[in-house]
Formats: sequence, structure tokens, C-alpha cells
Amino acid sequence: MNKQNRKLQTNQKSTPFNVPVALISILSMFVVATVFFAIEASTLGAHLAKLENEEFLLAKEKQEYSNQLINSSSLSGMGEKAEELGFVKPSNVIYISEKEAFAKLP
Amino acid sequence: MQTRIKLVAAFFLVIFIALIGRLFFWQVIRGKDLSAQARDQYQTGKNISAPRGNILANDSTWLAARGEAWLVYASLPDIKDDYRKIADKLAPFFVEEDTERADLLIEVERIFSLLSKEEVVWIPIKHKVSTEVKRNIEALGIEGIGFEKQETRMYPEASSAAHLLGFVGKDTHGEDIGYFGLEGYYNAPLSGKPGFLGRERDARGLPIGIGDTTEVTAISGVDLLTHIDKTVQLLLDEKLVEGIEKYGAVGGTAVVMNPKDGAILAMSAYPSYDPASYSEYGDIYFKNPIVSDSFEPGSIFKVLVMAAGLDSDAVGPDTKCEICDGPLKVDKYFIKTWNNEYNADATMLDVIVHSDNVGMSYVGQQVGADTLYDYLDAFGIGSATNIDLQGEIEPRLREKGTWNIVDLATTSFGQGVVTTPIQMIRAVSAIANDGVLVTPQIVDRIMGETWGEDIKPEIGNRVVSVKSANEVTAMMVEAAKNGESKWTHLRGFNVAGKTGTAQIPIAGHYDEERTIASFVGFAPADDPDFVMLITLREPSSSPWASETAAPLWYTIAKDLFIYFGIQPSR
Repeated sequence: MNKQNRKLQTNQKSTPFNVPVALISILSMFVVATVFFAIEASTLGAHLAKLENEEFLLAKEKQEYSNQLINSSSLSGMGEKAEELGFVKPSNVIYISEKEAFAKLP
Repeated sequence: MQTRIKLVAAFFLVIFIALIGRLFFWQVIRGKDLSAQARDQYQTGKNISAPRGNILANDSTWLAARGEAWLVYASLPDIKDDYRKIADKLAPFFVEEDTERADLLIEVERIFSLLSKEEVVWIPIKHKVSTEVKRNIEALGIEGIGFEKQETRMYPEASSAAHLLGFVGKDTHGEDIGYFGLEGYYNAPLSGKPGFLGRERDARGLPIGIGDTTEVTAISGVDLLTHIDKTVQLLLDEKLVEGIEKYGAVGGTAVVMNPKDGAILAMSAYPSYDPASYSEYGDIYFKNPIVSDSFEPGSIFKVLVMAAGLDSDAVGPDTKCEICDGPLKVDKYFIKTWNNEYNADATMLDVIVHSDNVGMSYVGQQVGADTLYDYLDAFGIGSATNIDLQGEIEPRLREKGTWNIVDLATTSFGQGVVTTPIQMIRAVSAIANDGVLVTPQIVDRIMGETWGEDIKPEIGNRVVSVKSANEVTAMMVEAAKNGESKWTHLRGFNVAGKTGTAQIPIAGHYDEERTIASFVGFAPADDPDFVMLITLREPSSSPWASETAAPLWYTIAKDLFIYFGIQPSR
């Protein structure tokens, strides 16, 4: 009988697998993983929102620069500025033929 | 005991039925609403607008560009101030600076009445205000007033080429849609296709990165690169208005085209409108008279009839007119020359140079009605040019085989026949282009975000031989030098041109006083860079084209010669 009990005790000691501990460990891992992925998803969402906000601001800035470019490329606007600066259209154009001498040196 | 059990059973049955009924109410009757409410809590969706394409000049600068604007709205539950005070604060931003007080008060009342509406929570107050106005309103810090982005159209050259561009208005659903001109013709490709982005969001309203996403990508509208040369366009706009004022006309048109490939370099019509504020103008201003109005061309039509005569060998440049010694009696009518002077020995060259109606009737008789019809048809008279502008009309030629002798005679000198300015310039371009017809085109290239497609020139059929085209060109050169408009001819420049003065038909007869004066010409005559048509409606300083349309043509041509580098030939 003692011999048998000793054998049983020896067997029990050599069993390394503890079911409750294992279950708790697995559960803990799932909890940690869930929290981790939830945080990751939330961070990703926040990052996405931040990028979209940046995109919106950049698009707005681009639109403002485009508006400036469009307005400054106005030929009629340039014509008005040129007039203000004293430029005038030639009123009398003289065509000089190639054979005629011009700006002749003495 | 039995009774008690039955009562308890009945009680539970009633409760059960009540629960089933309630469940049916929430699950079936209100089910859709509740699931929609639930969805709203974790799902978000927004329409992605497709930006409208730009319209560009040939140097890739903008003729019409997409711009940013704002819708000013009121969220009534968030408003803390008195409605009247808010209306007083906002109204000055929505009216012109120099608006009278009465109009300002009308605007105040409009805003106040909008804010006072019952059973609404969100009200649009003003569409398409500028970013500057938005900033100014934001600075006031009015609670409950918000802004929503909208798209608007910018016109850096203001009302220049308004008829050619058209404008962007609203359809019956309040969506942007192009009307008239290029905006109307190319509305679908310019509009693009809006998209949609739907995805799940968390309690803070932030998108869930690993959640479900539904995305339909928006396709931007294409850009249109046109043949329009801004320098020529602005010149045409300016000079046309000056000419109309100078000659007291009620309106006018001007078109410049490359006769070799049909590229329209500029197109102007007056009276005009500002496409940025199109709603302030009446419908009559929107129609482009160059493609949508018909007119009797008068003597500019003679070059086409003469080309038909020369090409069909019915006459030659030196053929003498056998009936030019006096007025020509056709049926019960007498056909006279414009100055009632007659030259019995007139050659065909003289007929064109002096714009002789009797001489042209002779050409018509020699060619014959059916042959003349065939030539005019080949020149594109009576059929649409298929220019890429909305609203082109195609006034028909009188049916072949039904022309009487009066029709033949009057058509020969450009009366009793109707055409459009765009048909007319295309037909004359065929003469300038050695007898080959081309299709007028505005757009040169369609450009998407990642692709581009050239619109190739449409070269049509040969209408007359090179020889005939050259002979008519030579006649037009002589007409420009020695015809009625010779006083305005620019000496040394090789211009082929023809004046036309057409009386306006009114209720079965021609008005003696009111005319349409026109001049069509191209330069240099032997290798033209441009062909230009000018028409002036009812000029009052003189009814004659030689004293109105012709000098205006040369005034513009003088600047075009410098721009195109065309020099005098001697």
C-alpha cells in the first residue's frame, strides 16, 4: 500500500500541466491581445482621421494657391498692370526690308 | 385549484401575447428605423464630389477654372442670438458693396424669414460665397452659422469668350450642369462622376481602421485644352465692342479661324454677359449668335457662287458678263447693282471686285440651280458644321429641284439664302485652304488625371479644285485692294477679302435702312495664317460694310499681322 502511494505521489509530482493556470494564461493572452488590437485599431483610426484632416488642410491650401495662380495668369489683368507701369501698344509699326540699311555705322 | 391554474395560464398567455406584439412592433414595424439609427451610431458616410474640369486656352492658362466657394447655413438649435440681429449682421456680406439701402433691407428680410421658418433645423442661407466672405463671417463668431464647401467657376478673363464658354448653372435637382457653349457641349466629361466613402466609426467619431469600408472612387471631370488664343480672343473682344460703338451697331460677331485645320483661335459676340453672374442676365444674352443665329450673308456669299462657277467651268476669270449693261429683269423683279452703275464689259473679276449683283445673277444662270445647290451643299451651307459648341442650328437650303429663276438669281448674290456665321467662315476657309473643307474645332485635347486624348483635325472633302480656289482667292485679293473697301486696305499686305451688305428681311420684304454688314477675309492670301469674319448688325453710321465691317476687320487684322508675324509683301 505504501509502495503504491509513493508511486502515485511520484506520478503526481512529475505532471507539469496545470489546467487552471493554463486556462487563465490563455484567457489573459486573449484579453491582452484584445486590448492591444483595440488600442491599435483606435490609434489607427485616430491616425487616419489626422491624415484626412491634413489632407483637407493641404487641399484647401492647394486651392488657395491655385486661385492665386489662376488670377495672376489673367492676361487682361496683366494688360492693366502693364498700362499702369506705363507700357503702351505700338501705334505705328514700321516694317524695314532686309535690303534697306539701318543703324549704319559711320 | 383548476381555476387558479387556468387563471395563471391565461395571465402568462396574455403576457406572452403582449410580449410577442411588442417584439413585432420593435422588430418588424420599427425595425428598419432602429437599425438605421444604430447604423448611424457606428457608421459614417460622405459623398465625394467630382471636381469639374477646367477649360484652358492654347497656352494652358485658364479660361474657366474650378474654384472654391461656400454655402452659408444656419443650424437653428445652435443659434443663441436674436434672428433679427443675425440677419442684420449677415446681409451686408451677401450684397454688392454699392448696393442701395432698400436692397440691403430686402436681403435682411430674406435672411430673417429663412431663420424664422418653423419645423426645420438646418437652413441654407446663401450659396457660393467666397472664401474671403466666409472668413469675415467667421470672425463675427455667430453661433449656429456654419459653412459647407461648394464648387464654383472662376473666369480669370471675366466675360471674355462668354458665348464660347457657356456657364454652369443648376438642374432641377439643384446639381451643377453646363449650359451653352463648351460647358453645355462637354457637360458630361467636364462633370466627372461623384464617389462615396462609407465606413465604421468608434464612439469618438473616429474611423475604425479595421472596420468595414465602402468606397466608390470619385472620377474628376476632364480638362479641355482649347485652340483659343487668349491674345487674339482679348483683342477680338476689345475691338468688336469698340467697332460696335463706333459704327452704332446693335450687335456684332467676330471669329478667327485657322483655315488649314479648322482651329478656332477666337470667337466673340456682343451683346454679351458675365458667366460668373449669369443669373443677372436674360436668356437672350446666352445664345451664341455665331452658331445659333441665321442671317442672309449678302455679298460675302458671292465668293462661294463664283467658286462654283469657276470650278464647274461655267465661267472663267476673264469671262465677260453678257447681261451687265443694266438692271436684270427676273420674273416681275428687277435686279440692280448696289450703286445702280453698270459695266457692260465686266469680267468675272470685275463682278467680284465691284460686287455686281447682275454679274452674279449671270454666274448663277451659267451654273444652273441644281449644280449651284450641289456646290453650296458641298461648301457646308445648309448643314451643321458640327463645331463642338452647344446650340448650333442648321438653317436649310431651299430643297434641290425647287429653285425658281428668282431664287437662283437672288441666291447668286447672297440674298434669299440663310446661313450662320460659323457656316460662312468654314465655307470661305475652304477657299483659303486650296478648296478643301475643314470642320471648325474649339477643343484640341481632352485631359484626364492620368490620360490625354488629342482631338484630331477633321479634314473634309475637296469642294473645288486648287486652281478654282486660287482663282477666287486672286479675285478676293483684287476686291480687297480695289473694291469698295479699298480705302481701308492695309497697303502692302496680301489680304483676300470681300465685303457684304445684306438687307434684313422683315415680314416678306427687305428693310431699306437696316442691314447686316460683314467682311470676310484671310491673310496672307497665298498661305493664310487666319481667316476672319466680322458681322455688324444694323450699323447706324453707315449701312455699308465697306464703311463699317471692313475697317473694323482691318483694325483687328493690323494687330493680328504683328502677332502672327505677317509682314507686308512689298
